[in-house]
Order: sequence, then C-alpha cells, then structure tokens
Amino acid sequence: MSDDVFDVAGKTIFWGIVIFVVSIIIIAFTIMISSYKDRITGVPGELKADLISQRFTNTADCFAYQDPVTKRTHAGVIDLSKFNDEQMAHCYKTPEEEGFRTFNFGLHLVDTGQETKTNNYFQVKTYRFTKEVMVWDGSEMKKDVLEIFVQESLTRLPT
Amino acid sequence: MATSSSLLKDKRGTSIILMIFEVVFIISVGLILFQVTSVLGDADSIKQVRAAEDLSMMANTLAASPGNALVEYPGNMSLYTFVLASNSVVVINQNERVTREFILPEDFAVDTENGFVEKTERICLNKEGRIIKLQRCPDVG
Repeated sequence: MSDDVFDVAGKTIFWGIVIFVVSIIIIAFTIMISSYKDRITGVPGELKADLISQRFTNTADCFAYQDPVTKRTHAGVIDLSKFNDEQMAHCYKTPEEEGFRTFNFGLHLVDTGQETKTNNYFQVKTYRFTKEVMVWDGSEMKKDVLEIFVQESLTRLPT
Repeated sequence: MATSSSLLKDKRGTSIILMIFEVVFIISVGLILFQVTSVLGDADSIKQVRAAEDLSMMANTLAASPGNALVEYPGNMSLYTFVLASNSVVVINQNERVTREFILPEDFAVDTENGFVEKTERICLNKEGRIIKLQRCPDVG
C-alpha cells in the first residue's frame, strides 16, 4: 500500500516536470515560428526609406522644380525656394505624438549647405543615402548632391 | 462495480488512470503544436502580411510618381478583402487583419468611399492626379 502511494506521488512529480518542460517547449516553438514569419515577411528599412524618399526629388508637392508657365515638373531638380521645413511639412509629415515611431528624414544639400528635416527627426541617423541632383536657385541651375539621413522607427523619444 | 476512490486505491486502477492521462497529454501536446504551426506558418497569412506591406509601399511610391498611374498587384488575391483608409491599408482574411501605414503628401487624398475591394482576383492601385484609390483591375483587351 505504502509503495503504491510513493509510486503515485513519484509519477505526479514526474508529470508535473513534464508538463512544465513541454509548456516551455511550446512557448519557444511559438516564438520561433513567429520570428521566422516576421523574418520572411519583413521588408528592409532601407528599401522602404528609399521608396519614400523618391518623392523629395520627383514631385512638385515636395521639392522638385515646377515650371511656372508649362506646369511641367522637373524630376531630379530641386527648387531652392521650396527647400525648407514648411514645404517638408506639406510633403511628409509624421503624426505629432507618435511620429518618431516611423521613418523621419533629414535632408542636406552638400554644396549649397541648405538643410531641412521632417517634424520628428532627432538626428538619430540610422543610415544615409546620397542622390545627385540639380538645384534651381531662381536664376541658374547648379549640380549638387542631396544627402538623405534616415531615422528609422525609434522606440522612445531621445533625451 | 469499482468507484473512482476504490480505483485509485487499486494499483492496477491507478496505472490505468495514469495511462489514460499520458495518452490524453501526448495527444493534447500534438494538437497544440499542430495548431501553432498551422496558424503561424500558414502560407495565406504570410501572403496577407506581404500584400499589406507591398500595398503600403506602392502607395508611398505612387505619391512620388509624376502623372497618373495604374499598378496591378501580382498574384491571385481572391482570398482577401482590402480596405484603403486615409493613411493605411488593411488586408483581411477571415478574422485576421493586417494593417500597414503610409504617409502621403498633404495635398494627396485617398478615395476611401470606394477603397473597399472584396475577394477579387486582381487588385490595382490607381493614382489619378492627387487621388489614390484601390480597385478591381480593369479588363484589358
């Protein structure tokens, strides 16, 4: 009788341990599959940022020069009179509160020295692109290089 | 007939109960693992996430394109329902929703009234002037 009691107690402890270990295995398995799914569906941040940044030089809603007479937009030509934070707010504005959680950009024209940035850009440079552009300053067209600094999703505001 | 308490006192009864428990436990673990794998590793749900990612990137790209454009999303999308909101695209499959956001220039708008496409094979993103809309692709030819 006493052996039976110990046998049952031993098996109960054994199954307690098994249930605990199997639970850990199931949780680990779930996390593993979930992270695998994230990995195969994830898109590199550089690609997303590059696609967004195309607008800076290609559309008159951002900084591209638009001929006032013909209304033709010159892709790759930056209108210096529009290269400011106000125009950037029309072009790409992240939500005021949580906007730091998405892409933000800092733009710099190397030769001209002019800069602009999006509303939640805090100089956290995740990566940088460069584009050769033309700059229209109202009287002449000059060659320049546009540096685009990308601040990828931040988890919290920098102090 | 043996009652449950007399079954527990009996060694043979105890081992039968433990054996039943072992079998039920092993089947349960197998079912849980199968369920986890089929829900998380389902090819349709992966395709759903990718469609949402791609469509949000397409909206960002269309905002950077001069003129009008009509872009067809490749693949058969008949399993999903698409909703294009003012700053996001939602892809729905049964009860699972995947949302991806995009940011358009201020003067752009999304045609949200017609931005609902349900279980159609071919879907297109259409940019007309400064309006972006999601629609069934028109038949060509």
